[in-house]
Amino acid sequence: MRITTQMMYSQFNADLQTTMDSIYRTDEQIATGKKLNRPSDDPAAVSSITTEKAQLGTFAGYQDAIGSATLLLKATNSSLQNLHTLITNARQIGTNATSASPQDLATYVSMIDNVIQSAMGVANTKVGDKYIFSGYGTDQPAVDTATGTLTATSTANLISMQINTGVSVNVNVTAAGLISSAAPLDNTTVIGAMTSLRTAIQANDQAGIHTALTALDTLSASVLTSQAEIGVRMNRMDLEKQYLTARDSDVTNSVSDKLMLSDVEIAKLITDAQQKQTSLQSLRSITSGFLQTSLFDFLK
Amino acid sequence: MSILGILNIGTTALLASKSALNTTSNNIANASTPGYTRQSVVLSSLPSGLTSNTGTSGLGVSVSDITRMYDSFTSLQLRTEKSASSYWNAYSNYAGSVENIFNETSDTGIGPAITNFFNSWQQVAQDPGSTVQRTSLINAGQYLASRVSGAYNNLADQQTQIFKNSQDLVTQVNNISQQIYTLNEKIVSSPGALDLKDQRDALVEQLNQITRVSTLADGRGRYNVYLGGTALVDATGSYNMAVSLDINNAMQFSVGSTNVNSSMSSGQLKANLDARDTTMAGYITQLNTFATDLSTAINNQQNAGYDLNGALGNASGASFFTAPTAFAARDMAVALNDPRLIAASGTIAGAPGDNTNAQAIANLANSGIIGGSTIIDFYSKIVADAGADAQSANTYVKFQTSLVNQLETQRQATSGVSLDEEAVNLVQYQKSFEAAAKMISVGNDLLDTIIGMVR
Repeated sequence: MRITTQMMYSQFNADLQTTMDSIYRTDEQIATGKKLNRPSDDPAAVSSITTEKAQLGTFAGYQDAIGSATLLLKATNSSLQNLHTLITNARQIGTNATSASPQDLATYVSMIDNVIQSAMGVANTKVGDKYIFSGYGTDQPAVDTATGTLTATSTANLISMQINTGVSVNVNVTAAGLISSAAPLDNTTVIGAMTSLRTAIQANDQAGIHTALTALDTLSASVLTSQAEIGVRMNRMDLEKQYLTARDSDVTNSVSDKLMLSDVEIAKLITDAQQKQTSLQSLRSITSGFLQTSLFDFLK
Repeated sequence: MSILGILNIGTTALLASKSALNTTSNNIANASTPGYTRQSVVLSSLPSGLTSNTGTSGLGVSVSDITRMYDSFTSLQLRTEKSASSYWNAYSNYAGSVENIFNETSDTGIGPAITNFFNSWQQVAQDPGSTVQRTSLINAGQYLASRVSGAYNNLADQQTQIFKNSQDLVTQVNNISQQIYTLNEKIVSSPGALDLKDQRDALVEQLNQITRVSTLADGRGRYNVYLGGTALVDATGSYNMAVSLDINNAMQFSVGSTNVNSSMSSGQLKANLDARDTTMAGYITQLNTFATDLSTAINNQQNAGYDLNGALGNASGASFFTAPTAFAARDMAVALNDPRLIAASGTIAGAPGDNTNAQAIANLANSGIIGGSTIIDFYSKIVADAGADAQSANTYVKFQTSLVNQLETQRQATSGVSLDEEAVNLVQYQKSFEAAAKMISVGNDLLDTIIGMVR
């Protein structure tokens, strides 16, 4: 084949371009630490990276929800623990009152008043700026401290939070039905039973005290049941949290395998880059040497 | 043979060498001219014209022709492939800028904005009474909307640029057609004008890079140039091409009154047409679908819930996003300013603790709200499409470039100028010239000798 001057120039040009382009891509990979720098580097991988990153975002969202839910449930649990102690105290006071002399009854009444106040305090527990026993009415106290009855905004609604795809847990226990009720109060709620205990002690009504104590027994069991339920929910959340953490690390690894360069790959790229530099250098030196002379240089 | 004959032969040799030197120097001068075809002198000896039984030597040398070393088959192939090459080069540039809009290898893509938006709903569900979470949700919505409309605007800007570029290219096409017509007429009146033929071939090649045309030479050496079946240049003149936008914002190319959109098969203009009105228009449609379906789904759920004031989600007259328009992606925006108006509650008196509606909206992330696909699946398909499109365009560019390089080499092997070769020619013809001059000088001496005999 005839080799012409322009052929040589354009061939060298094309070779230089190819070498420079591959050096540019290698440099880009090393600089960003990424195997893929644009969708066209591997469309299928980048597409699944998009989905997986969204998954990671969702996992983070659920982890966040688990954090909030755990905070609420822990607060609810310790409030119920306090409530249980208060019920025990009330029962103790009631039992003692049955054998007390009439002149001591006023003391028992004031003791039970304290317990009722504390129970109302428990019902109006706040986490952050939220009343946790108020159902949906989280911005208002659950119990009216003047009457011991539920406030108008307090509801029996359970609040549920999603902690994983398709998995929701209830994160509250309501004062309604367990701690208090709308007026009139009766023996079905903690404050109702404590209030009737107080009335019975004040009136020295032995039968009334007995009825109230029986009611408190039942309520004590209910509080324990609620606590057990919370335990189950927290347990469930721990499991979901572990699951999410495991999934998170799987998906993170999968994204990183597709997207990021491993140490071995970086080492290989650096070697590649050096080889390419060498070939670029030699290409340049050959080019400059070759193209600078022609037969004309040797003619007199 | 007379002594004067020696002088005559010497003269023909001098003239032939001079002509060959001219050609050589023209070759050297044009060694770097694109499209230049190497010229070569065809020398032939002049016969004596005598009838004789014994051998008679001839009357010297003549330049019977100067030819272009032109390989028409390779040149035709080269034109075709260069046309395809410039199509893929242009198209891959466009595909590259489209894929950059949907580049999810970085952490600043639209994907994270989608996730962040739905996570913000999730956070409102965790604390539906909190104005902080509600405000941050509005911000997340605004960011997502701005990313979607940003992608739309980017594509629309590129479409505008491509239209301008097409207008420029059409003007170039018209200039080239005009020049080819002018050259045609010069070549018809002077068929030996080799350099004009080179110029015309270079123009045809240039034209092919802009838009693929077919070229037919007529009996008098004229080139008739056709785009599909429509003449751009014929014996009577050249015909102007034009480009305009129709009511659907699509480019329409025409020559005279003939629409030539479907006749364009390759070249830069075809790349402009495909990239602008198929590829980019396609992504714009997808972005609009994305914005419409997302806004509609979120708004419907927002309208079904109750805000912090206990009013329905659209009681204020606005829903979460502005109602989707025909340009849903461009116009996407958050309609709510007041964070209290976010409908987190599923029941009329549920505020502030009821989170069921916020949860329902957060769950939309996992339901098929865009033509049966989840929002992230729909979006990642766009990413995959944009990537695959750019990837295949890049592959075509590499393939076409190497094909064109091969053909160019092949053409150069026949038509290109080798400076070394021309140096050899230069020496050869210079020596011939010197020898011819010497011959004339010898003839002169011979004449002197003869004239001296009779003095």
